[in-house]
Amino acid sequence: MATISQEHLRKKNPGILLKTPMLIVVFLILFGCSNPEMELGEQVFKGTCKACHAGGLNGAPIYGNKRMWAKRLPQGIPVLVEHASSGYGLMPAKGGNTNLTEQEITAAVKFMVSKVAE
Amino acid sequence: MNKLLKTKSVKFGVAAVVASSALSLSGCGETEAKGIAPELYTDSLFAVMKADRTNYTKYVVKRLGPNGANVIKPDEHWQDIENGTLLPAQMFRAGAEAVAEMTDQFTYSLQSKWPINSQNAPKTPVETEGLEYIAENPGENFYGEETLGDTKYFTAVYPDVAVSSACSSCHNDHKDSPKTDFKVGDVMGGVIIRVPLES
Repeated sequence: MATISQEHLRKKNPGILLKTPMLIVVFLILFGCSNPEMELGEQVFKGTCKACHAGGLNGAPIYGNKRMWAKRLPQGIPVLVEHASSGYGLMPAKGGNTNLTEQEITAAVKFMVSKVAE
Repeated sequence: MNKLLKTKSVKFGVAAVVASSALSLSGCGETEAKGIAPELYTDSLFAVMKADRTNYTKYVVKRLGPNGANVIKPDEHWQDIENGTLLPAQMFRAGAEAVAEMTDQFTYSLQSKWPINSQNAPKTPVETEGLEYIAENPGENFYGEETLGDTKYFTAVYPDVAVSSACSSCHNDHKDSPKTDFKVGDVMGGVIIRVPLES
């Protein structure tokens, strides 16, 4: 199979090696980074979870606090969702917002976990 | 007035400097107090308060109260009933009163725009501004400065949230409560921590 060397490309179109990565970045920003579940999770977090999880009230693991989440992450998403849905320790079921669906709670859990899982 | 003071490094009065233990040696062998950022200082105080309150709720009220071993009765009028014990908010307030007897280098209190006891309403413009800010911005803290008498203070306001239906229903049903539609998750008031700033 014929391949095009970088040298060939550079001679043929001097700007292409610079432009291509930039185009990829722009494409990712526009189309690739959108995650509906994360967006839903952030929305639920701000509307319900943040009241306690922003400041760690009643022992709630603080959003973004890796130390507090470290012993919870190994339990896995399904267990964390179950705890959030049914209530756990001093946390009320669904964080007190009984209108939340399982999909919304799952999204919120994944959103919070995403901030400490890297 | 600053709505949100971000990590403003200010030299503190005695309490903060002692708490920080952040002393460094200068080139001449002198000791220079570096102090601690007021926001970090009040956040740290609040972390201790928060942890103690949570542990009292979890290990005493829940474990031994009606939802646990049922050997104590957490109640607003705890002194009047057999085996009565303080509600978590009352225990918190008792701590604030005990600290006030020990020192005036910092104070803390539990206040609300909708207090059951009018003595717990905000008394200064910054307290009012802070309580309004945290009520309108759930999960956010408020930091400001104010001058009372001849002293400049750093004042932090942290949200006090209805973390269970017991909190919201107790306030909603109380005859002296000016607000009766609290829900779990609502900001019901705030913890105000005030520390003097070095002039």
